[in-house]
Amino acid sequence: MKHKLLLTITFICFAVITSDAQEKMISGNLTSVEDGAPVPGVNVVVKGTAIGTVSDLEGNYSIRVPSGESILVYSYIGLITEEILVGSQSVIDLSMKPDLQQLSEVVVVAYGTQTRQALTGAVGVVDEKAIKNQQIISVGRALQGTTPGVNVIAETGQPGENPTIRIRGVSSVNASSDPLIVLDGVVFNGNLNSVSPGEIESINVLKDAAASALYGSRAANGVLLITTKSGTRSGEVNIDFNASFGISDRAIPEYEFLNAEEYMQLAWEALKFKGEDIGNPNPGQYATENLIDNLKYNPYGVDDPIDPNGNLVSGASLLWETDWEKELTRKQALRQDYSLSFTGGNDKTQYFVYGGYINQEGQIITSKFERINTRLNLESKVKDWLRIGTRSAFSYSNQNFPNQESDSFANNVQYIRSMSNIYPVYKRDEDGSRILDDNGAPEFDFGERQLGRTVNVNRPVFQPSNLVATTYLNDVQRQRYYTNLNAYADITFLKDFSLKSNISYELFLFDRFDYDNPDNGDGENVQGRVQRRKNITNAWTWYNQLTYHKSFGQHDVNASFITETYNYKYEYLNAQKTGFPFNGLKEFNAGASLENISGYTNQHRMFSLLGRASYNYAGRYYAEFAVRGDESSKFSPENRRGTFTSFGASWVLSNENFFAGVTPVSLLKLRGSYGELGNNKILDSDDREVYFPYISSFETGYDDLDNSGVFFNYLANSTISWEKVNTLNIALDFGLFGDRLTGSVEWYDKRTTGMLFDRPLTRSVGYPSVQENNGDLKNTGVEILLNSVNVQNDRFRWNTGFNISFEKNEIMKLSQDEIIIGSKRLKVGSSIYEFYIREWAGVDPEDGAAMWYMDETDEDGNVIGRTTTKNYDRADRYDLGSSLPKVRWGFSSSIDFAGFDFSFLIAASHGGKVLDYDYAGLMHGYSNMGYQLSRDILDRWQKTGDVTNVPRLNTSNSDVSQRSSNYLVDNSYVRLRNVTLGYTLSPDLLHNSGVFRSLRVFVQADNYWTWSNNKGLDPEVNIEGTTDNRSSMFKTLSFGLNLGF
Amino acid sequence: MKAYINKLVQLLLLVSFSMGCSGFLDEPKPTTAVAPQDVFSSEDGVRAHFHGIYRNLRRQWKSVDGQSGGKTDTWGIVALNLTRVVKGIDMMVPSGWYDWDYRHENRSSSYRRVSFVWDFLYETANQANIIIKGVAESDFSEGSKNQLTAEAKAIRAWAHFNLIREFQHTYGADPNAPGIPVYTEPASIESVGNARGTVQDVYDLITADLDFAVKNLDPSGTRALKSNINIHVAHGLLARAMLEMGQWEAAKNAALAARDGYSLDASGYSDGFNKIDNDEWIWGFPQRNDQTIYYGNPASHFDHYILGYNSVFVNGDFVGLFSDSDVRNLFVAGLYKGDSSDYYYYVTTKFQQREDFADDIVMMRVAEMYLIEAEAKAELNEPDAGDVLFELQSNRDPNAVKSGNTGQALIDEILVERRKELYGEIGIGFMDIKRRQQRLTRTGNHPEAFKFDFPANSDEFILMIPQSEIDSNDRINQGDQNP
Repeated sequence: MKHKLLLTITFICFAVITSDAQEKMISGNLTSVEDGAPVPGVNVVVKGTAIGTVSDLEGNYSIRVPSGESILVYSYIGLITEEILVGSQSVIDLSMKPDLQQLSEVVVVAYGTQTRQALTGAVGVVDEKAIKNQQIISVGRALQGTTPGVNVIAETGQPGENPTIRIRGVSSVNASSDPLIVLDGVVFNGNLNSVSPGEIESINVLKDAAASALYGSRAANGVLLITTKSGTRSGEVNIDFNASFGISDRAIPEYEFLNAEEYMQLAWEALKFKGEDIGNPNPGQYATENLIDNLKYNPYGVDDPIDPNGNLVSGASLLWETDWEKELTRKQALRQDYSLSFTGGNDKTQYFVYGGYINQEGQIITSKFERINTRLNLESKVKDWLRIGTRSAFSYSNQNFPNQESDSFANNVQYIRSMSNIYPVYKRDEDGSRILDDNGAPEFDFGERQLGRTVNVNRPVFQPSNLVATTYLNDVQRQRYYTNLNAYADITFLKDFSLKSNISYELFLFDRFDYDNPDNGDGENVQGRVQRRKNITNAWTWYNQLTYHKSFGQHDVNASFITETYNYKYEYLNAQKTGFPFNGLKEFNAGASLENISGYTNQHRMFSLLGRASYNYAGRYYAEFAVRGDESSKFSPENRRGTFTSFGASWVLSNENFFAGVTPVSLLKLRGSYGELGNNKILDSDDREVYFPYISSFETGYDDLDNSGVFFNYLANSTISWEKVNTLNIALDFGLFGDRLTGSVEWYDKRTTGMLFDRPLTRSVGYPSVQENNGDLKNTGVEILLNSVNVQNDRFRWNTGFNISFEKNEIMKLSQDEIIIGSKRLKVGSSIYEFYIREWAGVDPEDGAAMWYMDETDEDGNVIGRTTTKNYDRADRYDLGSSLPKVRWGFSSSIDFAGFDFSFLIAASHGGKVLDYDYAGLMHGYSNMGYQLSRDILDRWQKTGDVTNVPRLNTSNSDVSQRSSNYLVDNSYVRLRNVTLGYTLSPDLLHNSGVFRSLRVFVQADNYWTWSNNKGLDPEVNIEGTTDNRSSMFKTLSFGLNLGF
Repeated sequence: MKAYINKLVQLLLLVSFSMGCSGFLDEPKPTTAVAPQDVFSSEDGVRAHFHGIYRNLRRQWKSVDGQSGGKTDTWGIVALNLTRVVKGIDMMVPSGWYDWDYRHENRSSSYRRVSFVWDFLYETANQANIIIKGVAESDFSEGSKNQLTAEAKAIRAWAHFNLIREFQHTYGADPNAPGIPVYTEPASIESVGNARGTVQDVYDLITADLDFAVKNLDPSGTRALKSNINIHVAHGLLARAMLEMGQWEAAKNAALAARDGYSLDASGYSDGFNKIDNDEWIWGFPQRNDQTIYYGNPASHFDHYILGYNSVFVNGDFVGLFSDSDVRNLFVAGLYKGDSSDYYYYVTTKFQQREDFADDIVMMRVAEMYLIEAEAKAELNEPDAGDVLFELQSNRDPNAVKSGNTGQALIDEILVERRKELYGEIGIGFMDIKRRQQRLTRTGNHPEAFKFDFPANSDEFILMIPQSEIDSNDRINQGDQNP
């Protein structure tokens, strides 16, 4: 302690001495070059330090600078940033020039960069700040609410899973609708969760043809350009350390369930009705006698706990009641996030070095995601004519992924929604007392039968299983190793020419490890099982870009020609062994017998030629033409070539002379583009990519003992080729009041033609569907973006951002009149996610039966009206709305005041529908005896005359829970994505310490508030609007620290 | 220096261009799939397809598009069999997998049971059609062509015979009733759905296919595995079809031909009924520890002494039909205590689960052929009908006494013997109720709620056409649906 104190004092003294030796005071006055008026609120900062001040209302400032070599940076929104070397001056006055439209802002685009003004296409930008303000693991989440036209749906609460991202609607039915991801200029083949938000400079969303044409046959769904951070030329190094710590819990509480007593009483009621239905003269007695036999468990421990009148017998009390949600989920999941980065360099060499670690627990017990990231970005000008650089990264992640989707026994979420409270976690004997093992510990109850017993055994729900036991004892690990090496050389030769050669190599190893313990559950019969899957993705891309750039007079010409070669290889290896008698020994050597071994290789190659030419006259007229020719190994040699072209133009009206006098308008730019893009990502029914869609094939591996077997499982269409998307985009960009208010309005019309489409065959022909390039789809929409600087002065800064998108999806052409797939119907004129299901007509007050609507027809089959039916099979189906939202918007605001910063982001979606199967499953009304029920079942019909929407309880297999409008709900929601409150220590104070450049502490809440009509259902479901017992989104409260050295 | 740089640039551009024309794009080839021309280039290729078809019948089945199957009670042939087993009057599953079938609540058009049966069998028929067409277009010898085609046609007939009996009443009820669509060409891009046709149309195909099969299959019956349909299995299938159609003479002859070379062997009853090498088994599916359906196996449902679903109980009235000395009397009472009025009072140990799940699955046994022969002879009033029956009875029970029944009494006795001999296997009890157009009357210790008394040819006995078929077939509309 003493030592520490001494050290600190020495430190402070040293700092004071050094400043005394060299510091000097600079003051001055800042005016506008246009009218000579003082400019208040200009940031004046000593470059490379945290020392800074702001000009006052008269435009005056004064600042203490460390030395004569210091450089002062003057910046203000809407004005050109100036840098002045202090030298011997002590007074520096400046007239600041307007930076109309901030022309100098550079935007990353396909194969290069462009100034913002030169853009002719639709590019959405999510910058570092927007990314930093969200506690996310997968960078895809950063797009939610921050960019118009981008739909982001989380789908699952498992940390480390990537959200579904759709750019400008959904342009395909059976091909992939995922956007192409490009990391530092090269198509990314890893898992997006391998990239840390902390290493990202920006994510640019290329939305139209002009912006994404250079990605040709892979760009139809839009492109995400992710750019990692670079070094600086400042000659100094910034060291940044960030740490945050958080606690997470479900954003939306679980559906409310019946308690054990209610469950027993209602089960009795259901059985009483059964007794009535089968003509038992004393149905109450029948129900009392059959209750425990149906439920198998008796949490009361007394015989026939519900009497023939449906009341709990006196003296009976619950021996147990299980809250399965509590048993299987975490209420306080922890999150830790640390990163350290070095950003520096000089005129010759720049570097960015990054290291990060994140650890987030998930909603389900044992669920977790842990990741380590490292990155080195380095660029150096080694010769006058040669710049070389590398961008390289390695990332490792380890995810424990207990089942939380699908209808497997092992799905924890389904388990919670299936096991009613009357089933115990631990074994109970016939009387309901706990059974203890030899050590006196309770034993997990797997609900198995047990010889000689009939009560508290043989659970009708998920027998034999106990996820509380097996989720802890089993492993579901997913490890990912991702290496990305990207090296380039930029050669300047001749006059006006340069050549960039870039080679990128990716190695992605996915290692999945599943262990079923030998003592309980799936592994019990085989003495334990280990399944190991190793998938290796190997990909390289080599491109050479020849660029010509020349300016003469008012003209500026830029042309690029590019060749690109792409090779992708995916190797799959799976092995499975059983016989691991020693609980805990999980390597294959410890296993006795081989259960499965399989493997295959997928390969995809492309060769492409690209060209781009752009022209600009006097900063007023811009035109750009881009073309990409692709050849892909996915299609037959006759169909493998595709050419994709686009044209874009813009006119900056505000740079015209006739606009010079219109003062409130600082920018007015009209732009438009038209072009064609392709989609070659054909998916099979399991959403796996198909690599040879043009070859019919027999799958191997259907062996009958030792006899090799093949099975015909792919009926190909030999003429299959790219799906094409033509987009027309028209937009207006504007800036008002010295760019205090900026924004854009965009309109687009996106048409998919030759849609890659699974045309269903008749089921009875024995093969489900064939792929065709058939059908047209249209996505249209309007996107509005508004950003404003509401207040800006030396103490207070307040910005807001708002964006809204309206989208419409319409099928224009199909190979047949209509195609019904599950709950959806495809039909010309409606959307691709249009629900076509039976319409619930309520409950008949007479008998409590569920009713649905059916058409009434005349003799010629014409529909003349409709009536209700109690027979689900006879009910008709109707178009009842689409899962696609009509409007989505995001609103954000940030306030900086006296060192405090406060910001929030709201994301919202309106008009989409969800068919909530999970809820339907909870309304089975005892047709699934023993399965959990929603509290809404309490409103059930009980006697003639009851008017309710919940039918009479019924233990027979009934259609009550079947797909119908009763479970179709409006999924509009508004979600507070995050709120952050931070405090930055004043630079003066920090400077005096001599150690820190900056210090900020913050508290942040993510997803803390959600408005939605629906209980239990997290609104971030999936794009098709169906539920599948997935875990739901988290809300996270975190505290953190940003330290700069 | 400048020249050097320019050379470097030229070289780079040259190399990068050459990638486009070096066969670079032709190199990737499928690694786990083979093209039709490879399959039909050799008889071994076609055999591999047959092996694939048989394996597919017994795997954790799900359709190519994942729309049907994929659940424990829709795993291929076992699911098809068990569904029928529990729909009858002898076995009981009030809760657990197949309980909705036991309760006769599982026939609606949107249920997975219905689409499973439909898609599973039509998928199999299509695979057979692929072979039939591929072989016809191959350059194999005429002899091999006929043999391979014969086996494929037998598979096709088997699939249709199962389909028509699930989606319509028996042939004898009304041969002109709506049938099921029939396809003799493999699915292609141009395929369109066919109409239901009549029951007769379907049986015409079944009969023609099986006739072709028994004429052209290798008379020696040689085969790689008992899963393969050889001439004996084909005769057995023909015997079943003829019995269904009431063609007694043909049924009798086919049954005799089917068991040629096989013999009664009661040892299976003491051995867990899970070994394919038993002499009695004419047709069955083997499993191995790496090729099983785990808890989907029949034994998982029947065997109460192992970890499994343990869900099937035996009706007391059925248990009462067995004498003490009958080897098939494999019933245990009171395993879960209770008394004979409790549905859980009796279980059977006929099916036992092997430790590694590698239980073999029975599809056709010699005993059934004896019973077909006996029933056909009884119908034909042949005097030795009772002797044939007794040959089986005395093999099963050393103390068996010949009943001496004739006429209808003998037929009734044979039908009871079919239940006793074949219970739990492929659902003959329930299928006989349909075939013989009997009432389905549950007695004894069935739970009160499921003590049904359905009239003959009840709607409950047929599945509805799947909604997905109606949605995808222009020639079958809502009006063609089963009642």
